[in-house]
Amino acid sequence: MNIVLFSSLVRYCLAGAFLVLMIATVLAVRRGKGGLGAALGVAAMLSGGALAAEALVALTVRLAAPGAADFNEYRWVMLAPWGRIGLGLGAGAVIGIVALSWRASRGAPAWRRATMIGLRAGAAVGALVVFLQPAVELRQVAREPNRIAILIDDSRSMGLAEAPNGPTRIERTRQLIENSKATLATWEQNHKIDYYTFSETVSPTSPTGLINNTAQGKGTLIRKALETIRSRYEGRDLAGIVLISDGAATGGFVEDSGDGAVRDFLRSLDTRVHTVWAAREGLKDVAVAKVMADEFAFVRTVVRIDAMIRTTGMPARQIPVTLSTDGQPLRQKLVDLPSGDREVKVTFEVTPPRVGRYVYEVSVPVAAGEAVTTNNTRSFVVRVIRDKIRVLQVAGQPGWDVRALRQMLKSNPNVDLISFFILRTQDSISLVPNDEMSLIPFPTRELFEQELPSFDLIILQNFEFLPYGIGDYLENIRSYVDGGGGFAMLGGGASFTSGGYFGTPVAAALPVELYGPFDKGAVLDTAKFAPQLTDAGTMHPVTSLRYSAGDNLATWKALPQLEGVNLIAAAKPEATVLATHPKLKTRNGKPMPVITAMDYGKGRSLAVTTDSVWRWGFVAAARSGDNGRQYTKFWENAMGWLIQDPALHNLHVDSDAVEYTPGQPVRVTVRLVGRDYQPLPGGAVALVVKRGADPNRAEQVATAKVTVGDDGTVVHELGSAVTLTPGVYRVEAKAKIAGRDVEATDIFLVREGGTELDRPTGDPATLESIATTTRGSSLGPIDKLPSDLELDPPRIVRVDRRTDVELWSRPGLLILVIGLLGLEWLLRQRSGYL
Amino acid sequence: MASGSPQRYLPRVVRAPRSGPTRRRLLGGGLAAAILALTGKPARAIGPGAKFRFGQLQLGAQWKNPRPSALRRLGWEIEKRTSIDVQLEPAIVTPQSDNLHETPFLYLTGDRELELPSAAGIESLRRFLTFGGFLLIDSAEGSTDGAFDGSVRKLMSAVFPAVGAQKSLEIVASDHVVYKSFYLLDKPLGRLAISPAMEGIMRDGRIVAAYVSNDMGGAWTRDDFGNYDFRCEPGGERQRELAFRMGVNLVMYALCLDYKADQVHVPFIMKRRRWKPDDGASLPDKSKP
Repeated sequence: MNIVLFSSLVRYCLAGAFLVLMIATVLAVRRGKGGLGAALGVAAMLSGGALAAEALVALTVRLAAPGAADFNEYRWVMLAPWGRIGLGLGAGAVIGIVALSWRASRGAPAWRRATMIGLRAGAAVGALVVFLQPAVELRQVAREPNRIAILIDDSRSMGLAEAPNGPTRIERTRQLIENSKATLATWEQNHKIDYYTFSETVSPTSPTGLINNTAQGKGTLIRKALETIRSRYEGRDLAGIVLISDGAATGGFVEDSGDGAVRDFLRSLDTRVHTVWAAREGLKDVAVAKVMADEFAFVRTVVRIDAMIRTTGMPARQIPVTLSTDGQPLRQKLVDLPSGDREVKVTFEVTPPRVGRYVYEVSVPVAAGEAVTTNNTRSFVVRVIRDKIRVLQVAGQPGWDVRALRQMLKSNPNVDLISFFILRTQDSISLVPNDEMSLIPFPTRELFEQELPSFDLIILQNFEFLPYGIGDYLENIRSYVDGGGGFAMLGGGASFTSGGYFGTPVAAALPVELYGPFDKGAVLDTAKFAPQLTDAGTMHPVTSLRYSAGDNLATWKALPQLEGVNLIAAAKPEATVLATHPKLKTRNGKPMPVITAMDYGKGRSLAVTTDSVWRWGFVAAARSGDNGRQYTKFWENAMGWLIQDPALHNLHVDSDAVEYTPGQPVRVTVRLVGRDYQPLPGGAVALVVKRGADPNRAEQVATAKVTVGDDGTVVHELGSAVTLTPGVYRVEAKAKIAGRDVEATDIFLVREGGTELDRPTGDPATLESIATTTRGSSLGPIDKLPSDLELDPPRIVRVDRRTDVELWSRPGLLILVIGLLGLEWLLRQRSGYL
Repeated sequence: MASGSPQRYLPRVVRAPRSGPTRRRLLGGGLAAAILALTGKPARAIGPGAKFRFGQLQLGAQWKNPRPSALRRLGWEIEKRTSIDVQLEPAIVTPQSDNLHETPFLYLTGDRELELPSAAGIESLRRFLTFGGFLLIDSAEGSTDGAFDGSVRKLMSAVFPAVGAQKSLEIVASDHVVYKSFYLLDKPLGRLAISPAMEGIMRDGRIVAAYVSNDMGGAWTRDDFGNYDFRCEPGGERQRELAFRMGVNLVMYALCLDYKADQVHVPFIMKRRRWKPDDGASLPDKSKP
């Protein structure tokens, strides 16, 4: 065991200083600068004395402890009880003695003066040693190796390659470990190395375990991984952490890395984190990075959808961004993407036509050489609800039927009503200036072109179109119904055939056939009649005024008679006749339809071929006990059916969430109610699960048969029957109620959890921030770990043997002090200072 | 009010045209135009029952109609001036007539004290008005505090007694929609102009009964030779015209309620919820690969 006071560098410096100072002393003396020469000489003697003292200490220890070679460690101890104060006082006394000696030796030749001062200083130091009583504690110790945690990111982004044929990031990491064998061997002399992989969780691994790692983790939770490692080594000696990652962190680490909280967290780790960037520049990717849309929207009201398109490593170019639903493109925008790593916001606006759940998808085309293609589309679910029913009522003339319908609609708080009544025609005599009248122009273009699709229901009531120049807009009405709108035509002398609708686009959407120009016979009948419910009418939502069929029939029979009917050629084959005239027949000999309903395209239409339905309200109210409620009930039914109100459905199927991750159980609640909307205990419902955004091309993935309980509901877990991979799913439910088929559909989304591949670009800044904050090294994109990485030495020490060597009590020290003082005295005497 | 060539179709002889200039359509249109030229304004109601018809309310056996031709004359004017189809002959009804609810618009006039109906009649009238009927009371006695006026107030108090915040008869404000339901008016003139305002009973946001003291029927009535029976004072023929306009407005109000109040709100209603996207996006062109 060799005792050293100085490092090699200091030792060389002292030796150099001694030589330089000696030469300087000679030069100063030759030039007659005695004071300077003396000072330089003293300094030279101090340098040399320091080296001599080190040698003397080593010699002393060697002489005092012949077995010192068996010891591998030493430390200084002070046996005197003076402590630091004594050390300070002693050092001060030495300096004072030197100063006094300097003053007392004025006038002596430089060399002699320097020697005298040096000798007295040496003697003073010797006395100081005796005063402080220093000793060297020799120890034979052994250190427990501490741990190095090598933390390797194995999330899916580590499976990416920057170049099409280049290594993936995980392959690059494996190569790094392979290349660093020598370094790791060096580290293992004092440390033990633990290997871990991390993504969403932390798992122990080994270099061989990395060989088969394909980097399938669904997240990069760096903070969580560091927390886990720190807690794993709680109370144990950790030399440091080596974090190897692409830096593409998920879980909010990147966003919060600048926050004080994250900084505090990193410092709380209390160990160095050295980071290695496993990614490289040059990754190419175009991604739908983020979509911002409200989860809820109102039907027929604009929904704003913001999509962030991120381009990485691509040249500047223009790409189409498409918004689609049900597998069909809805809207498309051309977007200029700049070069480099940038994000561009694209805004879409769509108007959901119906209530329900919609799965929308924003997509960008896949470019050549793209590293990740799964992030080129992003799906999301919007629940579309209704706030108010927007109804357009257009009437050809004021009348009691018009007024009754308006009053009913206006009194319904769920209805936004826009009425337009023709109050005066070109046949009306007008001798009054317009400014004395309240009439306004009929806003045909606004209503039938610009605003038409904004309505849930359009009612044409005794309205002929020709005088008002809206023939060109009739196609708009037809396409409106075809697209999902509700449409009702009510009778009157200017409606149906009398309204000139034969052969028009509107006639295509009507559930009845109209008479043509060359058909013979009347088109109106003015007699009073009591409409007869058909079999379909007894069960149909529109004509169900009471719950039970028997009560319903009785209610219909008790209604006041109607008066006058538009004659129509026939009901269309695909239409459902709900009520007929008791006597009149169509040209095919069937009872003349009075109330007829039909699905047209995605919409629905209703024909009521009389203008006297108001009698079910006001005329009925003449009878004591009848408040005319049936009129309101009829139109509420009709309105709900026409707008396809989900509340009127007998079968409901609802998934318990709108988005799931693969493997997560999907529970659907099936509710079956009868025609009276009471639960149907024991009702059987067939479920079919289909996968695919386009309902026409969706692939059936599972079926199930369920039976509802006493409350009419049952909860069925789809996940138990099939593992749902990412995609758009539809659950179709079918049941029979009193022989009639009822259906319901729900839609949900299964998507990969997390956002691992949303930002595939490596982020060295995150790693650098971690390393800097923890006093570690940000090693960057290296191929081999450096052997001189700063790692904390093992702190846990085992002492096997120890011995103390006292320096102060050595006789030699006393002789040395006396000798130095004697020499100094002798020199002083001969110089005439005594 | 609207542009374009009117094409009329009459009950039992209608042949409907197609849209577009087809031969059939021209033929049908020509036929209809010829009939229109011969018959005047076409009917739009399906039959007589669907036409507007006044109900002349008769109270008591002693009641006599002081203006027997007034409603027919007003009906004729309505038929000519508006799009409403009118059955000119009013129906005579009493509060307990079976057909009371067949004519939702009742007209009550008189120039002397009325015989109030029985409790059942009062209840019937209340029911009629509550469920959507309309009653126009027109005083022909030329006084605002005469016997007829007194009995009208008794009648209205019996049918709709003032309860809490609900009043019986009250002044109808000059900005009420009844004054702009067709013509723009500010007061209810008749043969006379002794009362500057109309009174009414409001229920559920609408006027269920209106009371005018200015003898509107006196301004409307004519003899068999077409001469007006009474001079209108003090405004003369202009006042008579305004009396007709008030009659038209009252009928229009009964049939359309507050429709004209809607009109001022239309721009707001139409624009308050934006439904049309204006993001500049296009539908994808499916013709391109």
